[in-house]
Amino acid sequence: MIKYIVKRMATVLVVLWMVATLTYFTVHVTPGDTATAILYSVGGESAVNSDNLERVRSKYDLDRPVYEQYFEWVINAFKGKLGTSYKYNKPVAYMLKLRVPNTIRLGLAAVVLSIVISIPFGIVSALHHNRFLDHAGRLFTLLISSFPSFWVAVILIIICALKLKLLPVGGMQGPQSLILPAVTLSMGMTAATTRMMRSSMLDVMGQDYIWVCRAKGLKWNKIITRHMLKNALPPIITVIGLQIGHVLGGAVIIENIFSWPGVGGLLIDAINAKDTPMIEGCVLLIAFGYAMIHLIVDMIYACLDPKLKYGGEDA
Amino acid sequence: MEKLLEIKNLDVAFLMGNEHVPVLNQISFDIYENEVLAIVGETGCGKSVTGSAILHLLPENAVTDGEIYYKNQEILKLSEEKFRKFRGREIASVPQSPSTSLDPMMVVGEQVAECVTGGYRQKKADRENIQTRIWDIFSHLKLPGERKICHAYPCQLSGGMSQRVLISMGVIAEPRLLIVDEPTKAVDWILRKEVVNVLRQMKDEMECGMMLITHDFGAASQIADRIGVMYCGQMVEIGKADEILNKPKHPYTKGLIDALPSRGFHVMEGFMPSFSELSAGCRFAPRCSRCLERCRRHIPEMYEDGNGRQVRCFLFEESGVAYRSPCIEEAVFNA
Amino acid sequence: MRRQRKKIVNRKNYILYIGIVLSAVIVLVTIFAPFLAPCDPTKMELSQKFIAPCREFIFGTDHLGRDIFSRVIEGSRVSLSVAATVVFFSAALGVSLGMISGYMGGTADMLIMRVVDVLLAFPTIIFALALSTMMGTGQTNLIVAITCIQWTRYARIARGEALMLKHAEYVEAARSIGNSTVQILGKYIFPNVISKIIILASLDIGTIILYCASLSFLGLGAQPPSPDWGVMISEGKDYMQYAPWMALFPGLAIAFCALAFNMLGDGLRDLLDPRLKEVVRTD
Repeated sequence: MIKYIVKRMATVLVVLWMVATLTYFTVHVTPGDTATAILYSVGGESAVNSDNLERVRSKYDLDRPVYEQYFEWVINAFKGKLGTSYKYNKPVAYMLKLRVPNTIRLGLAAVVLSIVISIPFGIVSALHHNRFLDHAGRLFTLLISSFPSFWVAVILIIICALKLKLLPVGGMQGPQSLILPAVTLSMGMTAATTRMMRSSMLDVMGQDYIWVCRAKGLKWNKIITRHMLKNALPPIITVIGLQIGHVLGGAVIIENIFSWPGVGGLLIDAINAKDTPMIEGCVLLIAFGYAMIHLIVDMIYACLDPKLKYGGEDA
Repeated sequence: MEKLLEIKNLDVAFLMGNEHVPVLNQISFDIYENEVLAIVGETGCGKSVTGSAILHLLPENAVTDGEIYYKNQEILKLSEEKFRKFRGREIASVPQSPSTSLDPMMVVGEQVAECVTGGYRQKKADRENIQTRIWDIFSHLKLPGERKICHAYPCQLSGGMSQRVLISMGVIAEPRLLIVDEPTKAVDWILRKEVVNVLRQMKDEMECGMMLITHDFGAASQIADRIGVMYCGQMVEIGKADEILNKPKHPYTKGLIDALPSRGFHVMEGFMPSFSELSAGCRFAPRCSRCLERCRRHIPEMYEDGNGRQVRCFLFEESGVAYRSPCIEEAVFNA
Repeated sequence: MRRQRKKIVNRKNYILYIGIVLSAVIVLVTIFAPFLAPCDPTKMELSQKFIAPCREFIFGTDHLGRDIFSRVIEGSRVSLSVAATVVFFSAALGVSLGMISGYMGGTADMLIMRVVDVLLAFPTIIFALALSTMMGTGQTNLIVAITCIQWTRYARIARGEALMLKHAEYVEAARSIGNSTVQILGKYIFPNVISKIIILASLDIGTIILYCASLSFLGLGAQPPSPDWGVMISEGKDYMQYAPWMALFPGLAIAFCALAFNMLGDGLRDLLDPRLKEVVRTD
């Protein structure tokens, strides 16, 4: 078990390093001169002249060879130093620290909402296999996974905020401003988790040990709570981990629509301003968060699964 | 002896799409108190379906007809909720594949205790009581380290240990009838002997009827008081174990016994037909060496010789009287 | 004989039939878009801006007086061609790399699977964003960016299958009579992978239409004059107070396409490989 955790952590470290490298080379090595881009993002066309270019190059260490810049960047990144934003002229890490809690707040709300909806729905769907509720559930998940979340966001703003004036259009004032972004963000995950819960339950329901439980004379609801759920939930944890990544990706768009002051808004701003250190910082942070969630999910799974925990004969 | 279980004209069919596939046809037999009845037949002949039908645990697409009496009470038509109380306490079962029949996420002690507690929380005294009973049974079944094993997960047990845990689940509630399904199917030769010994021990000590479903004639002959032979969804012969073994009447039973390694290993020709393509006459006719002209057109009835020996074969028509089910001949004529 | 009456479980694959019909409609609309669109989708008529849906403009007009119905119809060409291209290239790349990875094992396998791991460490949208900052915005770059991630899913499935079949007897036999690796992969392994790939591909078309729309919405895909659904919703967002129909109809079009291909994929999965279940459906 400990061996498994250590091995898993080592893998995560390697993946993170490769993620950092990939981020650096995709974002940093943009076509065109970086110094020009910086000046452009700060002061527009008029700021680009040879004097300024020279100053910018020495300030951001752009005159050194690429590999030196790369190593320094990676080492600094692991230390938590992500450079200075071109646009805001403040440390990227500082900017992120301000924004991260908001993204976590939004993401957590969406994840909790979709778990609360999808797990009971999936269970009910499976228990009513091939009957009305099951078909309704499948249709529902098909529908919500087909509507683009950003479009739903726009429509919900039109209906709930502009027409009915029930909820704020955007921004972050009070808990009611969390409702619309969280609902739209949770859609995709809700659909996927419901499907997975349903199929996981169906899988368990067909197992021999459920037959045995019935042969013991257990009540059906006891079989559900004591045996089916216990076996159907662990695979769901993996799916939830995967889905949180999609929530993180979706947050970029949703935060943008609702002007939610999170990392996503920062990233889109940075992309539009070609603010390279900021883009790298955001991308790296999100990838890091994603990797951590995966690690945590694997650990939980390892704790739950007796095969991994005790390493039985066929493990 | 009292009749514990009486099955009359049991029919089971499965709905596959729009097709209606008959699996059991006019199964009738009795199990007496404290008696071991072995049901022997090839894989796929419907033995396990019979067991599941008694327990009301057939898949959803199954259609059943006939009557099953348990202690003179009709149970086949009972509602699920009413019948549930019979399972485990009155009629218990030991399932066939030990490796997949235990919940992998629950310690085995808890799974055995469930048979008594029904999954509800118990008072401390009751809990300890049940715990000692589990230990008793485990040590009786020679499960090594019986105290520790209660806290083991199924993945930590070997096949033989799982098998014995399943047996303890079957016996802990002291049922009157135990249905043991293929106990020697998934185990190797050495283990088979052990399982047979455990079952023999149980037969001697427990006061319950046992229905032993197996394809293993050898194991059946060591444990059973009576043996029923099934072929293709029908009971073809039933009688006392030593009579069946030494004086088989039905050509199929003869074939099975001749195929035993200890009796010369003469394997029968042909295969069991699939349920969806049965011929009109005797189901064994295509493989039978003593097949008569009428065997191909009419299904023989069960003929009884007066000592409880029944054979479904025209060759023994004179020696016995028609046992039951006059409707079959009728159905054939009408068809 | 008396029988218990039980409802016969109807196992007709309705989802597949509906999916086939809807997808066929979409493909036909895409092919005949120029004939179906009543107006030129890029023609601006500033005197006719912000007209609510009426008999003449059934979806209304936008802020530049363009007919939204024509633009939605024309937009299907953009979305579908992008989605089809992405699916084609990612399937081609993913299947070949996945089969090589699974069949050859060793260093090739290690390298390819590490790359897959790293790519999967990014949420798709984030990686596409990062890539598009490198390559700039535009349709082609969008295709490249999404393909860069999407192939990993095909690679994993192809690898799994190749790994399983590697020691199958008929593959070993083929090897022993002197077939080259390429021949074995093409003749014996590929045919077994194809059904899963078809299921994944049809599910993927819906997913990719959604991704593309999201990225275009953020301004990273097709650029404004193009009648792309994502772009149209993004434009509509600015006028949602006065002209909600501008965002409404392109979104419905996206949902319709995604739904059609999702149903097609679901139905195909039930038909071709019931055991695959939700495995390919974890996004």
